[in-house]
Amino acid sequence: MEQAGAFTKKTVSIRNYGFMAFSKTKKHARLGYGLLLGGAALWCAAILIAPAVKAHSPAGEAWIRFFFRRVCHQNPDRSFSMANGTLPVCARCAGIYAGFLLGTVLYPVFRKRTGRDFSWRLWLILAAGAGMAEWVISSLLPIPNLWPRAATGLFLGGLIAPCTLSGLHDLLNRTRKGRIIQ
Amino acid sequence: MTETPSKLNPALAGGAFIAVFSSLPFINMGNCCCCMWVLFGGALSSWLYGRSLPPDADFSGGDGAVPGLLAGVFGALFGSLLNYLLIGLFDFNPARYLVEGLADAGEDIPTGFRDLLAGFESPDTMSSALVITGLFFSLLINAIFATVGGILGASMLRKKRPAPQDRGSD
Repeated sequence: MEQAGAFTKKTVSIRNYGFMAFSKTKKHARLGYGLLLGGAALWCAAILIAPAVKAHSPAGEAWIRFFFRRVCHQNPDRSFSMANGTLPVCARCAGIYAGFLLGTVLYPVFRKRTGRDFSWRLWLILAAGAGMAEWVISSLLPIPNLWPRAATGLFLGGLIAPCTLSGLHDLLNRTRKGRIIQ
Repeated sequence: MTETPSKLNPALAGGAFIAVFSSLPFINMGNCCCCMWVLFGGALSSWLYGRSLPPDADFSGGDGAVPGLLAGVFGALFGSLLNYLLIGLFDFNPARYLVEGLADAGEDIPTGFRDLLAGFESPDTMSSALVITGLFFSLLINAIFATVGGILGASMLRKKRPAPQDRGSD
């Protein structure tokens, strides 16, 4: 009985402040989603415009390339060509970032369909395994391999995005409980 | 109510991992594979944090984000320090390797940019400028990738939340 009383009291107290807290969380979630979507779009745009920037400002293109140098080997043989230049990241990385952007755009639809308890483990292992299998095959066989690389990257990036957003959503839900950084 | 363990220690461990693996010559090339060491460092901090939680505690994707983010920031700071030491002790100048790397990749380096990097090579301005520029880039990139690594790590190691009746039976 005492337990039931405590439960009711807790429920009521959550209800009392809950509406405002929930709407705040929703606002935070929207802000978080918007920031991630904007960031992913900016990241992809920087990759796509780099070859075109080269014609107008070689130094600008060099800075973009310098930035992406930290995350990719930038081997021209393994990168897509565009506007008389190569992209500043390889085909696999380009696929991962494009997949991440696509996954971020499609996340609201995905979340509505699967709910928040979707299990990522198997899918992430599968996507990483596909990338590794492609890497092994392309190392052994001399086949033109830009598109398979990009496709496996797209698959992995497309899964990483909803997984990341799901985690961020989870985190933002906890902000109202005041236990993010302890 | 049980106390939540600190996220600082796992973040420091993850940051140290990122710094060491991202600074050592040759080994740091792993970061060319989508910041592999940074992602692993974030996942490591998330795993360590998950281990420090009580067995019945909920642990899901969001729990790995903050240890991952902190690990990325610590990794950038420790990594810059390590880079500085490597430059001082072993004359390992990243500016030189950057120019050589870009040339090897078959890129035409603009004259202005080459001059700028050459300026970084002089012992006075040394690579301090490059280290600071690198620190800024590292903070940005590590924060993003280590947070993603932390979330992915936590999602992979996610514990199922016990059903309410199981929780109440203790």
